[in-house]
Amino acid sequence: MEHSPGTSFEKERGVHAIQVRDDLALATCTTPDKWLLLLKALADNGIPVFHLKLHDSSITFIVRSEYVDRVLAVSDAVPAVTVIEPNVAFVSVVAGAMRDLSGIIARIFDALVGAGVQILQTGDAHDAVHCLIREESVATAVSALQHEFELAAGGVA
Amino acid sequence: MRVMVQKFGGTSVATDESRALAADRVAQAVEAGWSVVVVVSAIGRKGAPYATDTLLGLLNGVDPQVSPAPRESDLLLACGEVISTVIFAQTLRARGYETIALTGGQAGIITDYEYTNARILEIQPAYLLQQLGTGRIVFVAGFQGATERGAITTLGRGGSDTTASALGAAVKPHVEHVEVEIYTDVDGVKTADPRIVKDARTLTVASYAEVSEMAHQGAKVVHPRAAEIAEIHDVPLWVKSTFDEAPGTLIRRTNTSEETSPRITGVTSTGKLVYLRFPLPDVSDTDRAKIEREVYRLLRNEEISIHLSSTGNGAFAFAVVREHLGRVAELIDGLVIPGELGPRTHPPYGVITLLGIGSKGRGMNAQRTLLAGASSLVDIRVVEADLVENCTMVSVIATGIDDIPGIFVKMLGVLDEQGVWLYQTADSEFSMSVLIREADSVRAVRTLHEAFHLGNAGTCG
Repeated sequence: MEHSPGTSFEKERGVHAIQVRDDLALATCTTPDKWLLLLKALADNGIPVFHLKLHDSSITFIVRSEYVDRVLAVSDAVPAVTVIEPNVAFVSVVAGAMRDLSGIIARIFDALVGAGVQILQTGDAHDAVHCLIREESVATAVSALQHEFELAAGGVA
Repeated sequence: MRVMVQKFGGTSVATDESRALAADRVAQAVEAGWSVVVVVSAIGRKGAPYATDTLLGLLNGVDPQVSPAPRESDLLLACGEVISTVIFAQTLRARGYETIALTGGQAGIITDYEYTNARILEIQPAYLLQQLGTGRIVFVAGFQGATERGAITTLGRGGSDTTASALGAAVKPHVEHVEVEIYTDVDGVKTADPRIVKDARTLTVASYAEVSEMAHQGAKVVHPRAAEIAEIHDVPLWVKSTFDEAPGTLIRRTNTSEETSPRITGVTSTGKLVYLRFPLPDVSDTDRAKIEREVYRLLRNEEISIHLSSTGNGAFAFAVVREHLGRVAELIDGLVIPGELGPRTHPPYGVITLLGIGSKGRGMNAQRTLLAGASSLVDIRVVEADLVENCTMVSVIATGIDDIPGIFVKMLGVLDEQGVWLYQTADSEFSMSVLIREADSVRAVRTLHEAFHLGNAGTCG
């Protein structure tokens, strides 16, 4: 009648996985008075954007690579000035109870900066910290993060 | 055997009147043929004699300079739930029911040794099931378990919700059917805080992920940990009111409920935050990363969490909980970070970055004086943080975001039309959030709730 010992009742605490999402592009719109128009036009054209960030005189967002040409066409039509950095990827550190875990971002920076990986953008949710990096750095980044968080190679999802 | 786990919060068992209503709920379940497990929180909230915060105040009041041992803290904190459990069990016993009251450990909840925030390792439900089999109502003190060696532990925030959910999960393999009911002072999961939005609607059904996201983003419904446990073990959760007969909200797996995806679920607000933005124009990516790393290292050492981090485009920025601002300023104001040395054979040999926070910038000014002597050798780059105090985060919770095109831009557009200034945004699989001034928070929540037709006149299921 008893549960077998070791039955996992709760999610793991702390960092338990590294996730990679590639085939992405970073878009930067440098016409700040047009950014809302641009986002609306992209939505009207069925182009999903995510990881929107507001900066002092620009906005950045992520699109899947397949949408890059359409993003530029929509931007031209608005008109807005949008610059695309292709071939970027999200490397995400996934953890349980993220908001109770201070310092994960510090450790990510330690690992990635130490490995010479340039972080183009960061973001966080209650269960993950996301770092946007160039695709060419993904293998190095994953290795560095696995080492930092003492995850086995199988910890990449 | 069909098992109903009912959890009652502190307000539900605080007075004779509320206890009588809660007892009615237990009795109704018994009369309907359920075998009932009742999980009870400590009586009342802060100020009530046996509330968790009151007990903690007693302990800390002995000598505020000496922190209590976590093990002893837990021993004391667990008493509040034990008291309310015995009192509530006696309430049902007085009505003629057979009852037994158990501590978390006696109910078979085995935890790790992380006192004050213990994690449940396993539950051995044999004794609990045996007692149910005799026809007794089993009352279990919420918020607590015990280590393998029998030391009492507490489960941290949302502990009683966690207890209820975990007990449901533990008995599930051994019984015909199990459901968990979380009783509170609202009649279910709302589309917004009813104190802010009068026509906030009660959801009839919601997914675990929706409820977990709402809780993470500030809604005071079921603790996300309880929702996560229920999801792992596929245990249906109900949120109901102790004080009325409304049907409540059923929380279950998304894939068993077409009503819950895609849809906009609700609007939440959370946090008293401060937003710090460090402008770093014309700074190399390498130097910017070094500066960020040093700042985050310092915050990590003090266990200060950051939110809404952003980097690139000539700056980096993040938010911290407002109560941490003083400590953050102490740590960062006047921080000196050496940059990369150049290959030059003559001055300046490199750049030193000096960070400042706040209008006074006393630390920065002091360091600037000290560094004056070095200014003939290196460039001193002074970076003063832009500080936005009194911020909060407002979120729209949704499922199937990819299937609802334009939802984020609609959110941003609506707020822009209202003149709500957006400092930063964040989005995830189940939510879109904006950082705004706290003074705009109520207006933003109401506006978004209306814009997405979430009220009683709305159509979302």
